[in-house]
Amino acid sequence: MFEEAIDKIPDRDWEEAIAAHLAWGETWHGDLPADVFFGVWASLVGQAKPLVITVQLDTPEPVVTVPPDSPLTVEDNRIVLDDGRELVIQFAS
Amino acid sequence: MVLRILLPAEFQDVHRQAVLAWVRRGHEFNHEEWQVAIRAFDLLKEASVVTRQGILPFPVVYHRHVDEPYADSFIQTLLDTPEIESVGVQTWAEVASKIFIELRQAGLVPPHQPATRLLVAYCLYWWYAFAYGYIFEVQVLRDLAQSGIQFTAHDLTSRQERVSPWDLEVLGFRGDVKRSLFFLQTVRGQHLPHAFYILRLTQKNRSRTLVVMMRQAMWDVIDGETILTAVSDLVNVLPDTARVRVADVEVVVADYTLWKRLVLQHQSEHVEGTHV
Repeated sequence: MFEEAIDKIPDRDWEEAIAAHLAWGETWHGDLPADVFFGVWASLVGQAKPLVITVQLDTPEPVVTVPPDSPLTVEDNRIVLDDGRELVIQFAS
Repeated sequence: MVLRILLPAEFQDVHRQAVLAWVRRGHEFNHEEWQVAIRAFDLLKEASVVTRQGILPFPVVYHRHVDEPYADSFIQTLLDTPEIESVGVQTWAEVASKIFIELRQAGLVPPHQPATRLLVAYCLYWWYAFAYGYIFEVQVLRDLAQSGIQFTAHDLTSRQERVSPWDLEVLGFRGDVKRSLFFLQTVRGQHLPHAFYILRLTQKNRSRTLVVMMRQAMWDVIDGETILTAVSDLVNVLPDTARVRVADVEVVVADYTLWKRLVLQHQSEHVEGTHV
């Protein structure tokens, strides 16, 4: 998606990047294409929605489920986040 | 002295890449790139630079070195000129070209300390957002006044009023005038805080179109006819009025000229009430 990190390029490339910004900034003023605008907005609204996890307790062992459109997945009651990390909820009494 | 930059823990390599890419080619970003870049510049609001004098948050540096010296005179320039766009762009460029130099003179961006480039990029981004946001706002407010629309707007010459949560009121509804990019930066994932937003989008042929995106309540007051449309088809429906659902938010998107005509018609037939 992107190229180098901002702190990994030589000074000359950085100065060229600033010059590029000054050039494109004169002609493009922050008006997005409609499809990009609504696409990004839908993603941001989606990210802001709370993620619902249901833990069923009226079974011999708690059962964790998530809605079908959730970015989370559940494997053996372990909740897998969309970046691959796992969330384990331990119940203590 | 080597300056340290303190970054929030969530600021990852991909955000470092996004910030550089925005400086180089923000005008070409696609949907996914904007998503990351918007988050990156949001996170940088929590960054700080550690100097001999203490810890300076990035927003403080921006305020001292960009906003305080340039914002008021920039707004006044826009208000005084009949050529808002061309004069505004020229003034944006003059200030933008000074930012790197002035931060360096202030000792905040020493040579050979690449981490401090984040501070330069942060100031360039928010100056760009400020300048182009107000160029658009002054254009729209002037056009509404010239069109005979009755509205109240915040006083742009007052720093305190500029940061008011909404820009104007029409028919008793509160609204904002936003470049589409900075609408996303401001509203993010919130359900529309205001009743309407005057936005400018581009179409596939790169021509620009002004739209008013509003809650159904405002549209009901001035008209009510819409075509239920998928977001992906919206560009084909305009200038007809569309009703689209974005995640859980349903909004009406109308052509700006049509919206003005309907508002004028309503204002000529009714005494304004309050629908905040």
